[in-house]
Amino acid sequence: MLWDIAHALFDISLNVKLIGLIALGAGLGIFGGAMPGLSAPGALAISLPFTYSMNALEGVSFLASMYTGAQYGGSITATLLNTPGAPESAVMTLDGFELTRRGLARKALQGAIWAGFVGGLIGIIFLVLLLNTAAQEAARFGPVQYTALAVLGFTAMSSVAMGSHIKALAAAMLGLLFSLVGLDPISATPRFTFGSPDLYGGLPLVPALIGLFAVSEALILAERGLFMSSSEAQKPVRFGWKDFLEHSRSMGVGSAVGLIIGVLPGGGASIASWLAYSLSRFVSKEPENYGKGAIDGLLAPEAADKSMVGASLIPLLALGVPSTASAGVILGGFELHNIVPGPDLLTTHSDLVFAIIAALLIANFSVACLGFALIYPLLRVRAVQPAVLGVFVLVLSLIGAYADNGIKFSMVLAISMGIFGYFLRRANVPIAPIILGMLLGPIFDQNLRRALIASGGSLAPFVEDPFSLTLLTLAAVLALFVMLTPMYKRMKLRRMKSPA
Amino acid sequence: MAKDITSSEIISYTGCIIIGLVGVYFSYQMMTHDMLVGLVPFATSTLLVVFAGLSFRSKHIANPENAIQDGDAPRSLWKAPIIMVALVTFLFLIDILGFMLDTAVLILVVLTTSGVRKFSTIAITLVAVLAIAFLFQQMLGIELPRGLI
Repeated sequence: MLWDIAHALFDISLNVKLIGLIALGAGLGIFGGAMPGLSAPGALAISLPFTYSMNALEGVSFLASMYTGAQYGGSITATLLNTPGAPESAVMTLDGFELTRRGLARKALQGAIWAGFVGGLIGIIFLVLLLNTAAQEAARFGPVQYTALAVLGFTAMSSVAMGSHIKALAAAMLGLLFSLVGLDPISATPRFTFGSPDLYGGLPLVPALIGLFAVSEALILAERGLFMSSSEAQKPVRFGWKDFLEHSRSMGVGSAVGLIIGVLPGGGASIASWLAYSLSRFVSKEPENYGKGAIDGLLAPEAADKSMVGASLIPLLALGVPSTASAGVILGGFELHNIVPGPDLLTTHSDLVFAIIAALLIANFSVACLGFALIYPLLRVRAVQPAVLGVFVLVLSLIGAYADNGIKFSMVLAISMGIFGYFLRRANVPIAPIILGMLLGPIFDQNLRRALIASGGSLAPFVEDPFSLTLLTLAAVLALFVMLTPMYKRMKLRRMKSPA
Repeated sequence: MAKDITSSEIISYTGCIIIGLVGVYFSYQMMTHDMLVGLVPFATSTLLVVFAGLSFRSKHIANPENAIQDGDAPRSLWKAPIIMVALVTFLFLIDILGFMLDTAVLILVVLTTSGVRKFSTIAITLVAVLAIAFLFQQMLGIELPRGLI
């Protein structure tokens, strides 16, 4: 297989048009991922019709490189503007934006590029090694395992919350409640719709995301007016080889998490980035620095996001099951060219599979090169007056919200969420758990109910299944860590204060 | 030591509690029809009320001077509410004025409220934002309310 991929890589390197399309895809992906309200799947979906005129290899390679670029793009706005371009980048606002506030945006962005590059490479190696076998195991996942995965996601989220875990949990419950609005997908019973047809389809995620992150950020920027803190002047600090070696552990942890979650159908990029952040903090020698500008808190989720790209192609190529929304759009790209991904793809279109893997490798290099080239212009974004930047963010957010489904309700929702989000942020309530709650809510609710219906109301399957038991045990360990850490700190402080 | 509560915290926690209580009421009604349909909403709403209530625990209401000393008070109390009113008005006027004109008015209100007084800055921002908005709209291929005007 390695020889086939090397052969495909050589063929592609001679194909100028394909190289150009991969570079274009990477650039558009970075732009799309960085645009508030235009998430990676959104950017891919917009570009999907353009692949009509391409052949299967060009079309899928273009989409795959866009996917790679968009995964990096999301972290740019999360780091520079505290506005994640995509839900999975939400966790990067915790430390990324803090680094920008401290004038270390250049170092943060360079670190994110390296982490993404390493994660992307590991993801591609994983894809090559496990394409045949791992996806078949992941396909055995049922409602019990998905419920356990969602529980782990919630626990991971509360463990990463800075300051008050109670506020984070309240935010998560708010997000979970928002996700339950609309027609219940199992029994079609309306829940919290209040008779409004706009709510039957549920609260749309994109306008809610835009409102909570972008509109609230625009309000805060506008409130600051002409004020620009001197501490925000960016320092010429670079992310060098020494930093690379020093932070390689968090990149490794992030990549490993991305591989595991990426291969699980429906696992989701958000869970991967939050878990990567949480685990990286868990193994860190300085966990207290997380949320206060720890670069490891940015590198781990970035590596997870990028390693997911390769890993998520395993179930897509081997089983035809997309594990993320972006992989779902790439599946659409295959279908446009009458190619059905699945077990037969490796025998009928093996050349195409190897070429796609080779294209992914080139896309990874392209994103890294473009990322480094774009750092200086991106840093200029911070030099704009906050009020002016706020206006740009506000108007583009409103159009982005409207573009989601072309109805005014999306704008109403984005503005309502933005105003509510402004007060939440002013009260130091974290916004990211709301989004994670909205993403995990349907997975948790539907799979829990399916599991309970199948077991006749018994919870026994959750402990009888080894994978579910492992996930729930991990969730319990994380919960204990969250509860015991403050108690341990208080005890330590008391001992230090008490006279010897 | 309990810190003073800010107006943003009062609004946020009260908002969460109200949303939670509405959720408890309606999900309880769902549970009376089908236990499984209302189970997760009921549990979630109850937990939301509990966690939002607990967030009040470490706070006490005191005078604004103390809040400013604690560094809790926002820099400008009046700017954000004015922009919020402008945003709500933007929604009501969008069908009458059209997206571009309505957006132009919104931009002017936001910029002047934020303290931008320089005519050239306002003009350049206005033109640039509207141009990018138009390009973005074209790129996405969406039909905005009443189109350009």
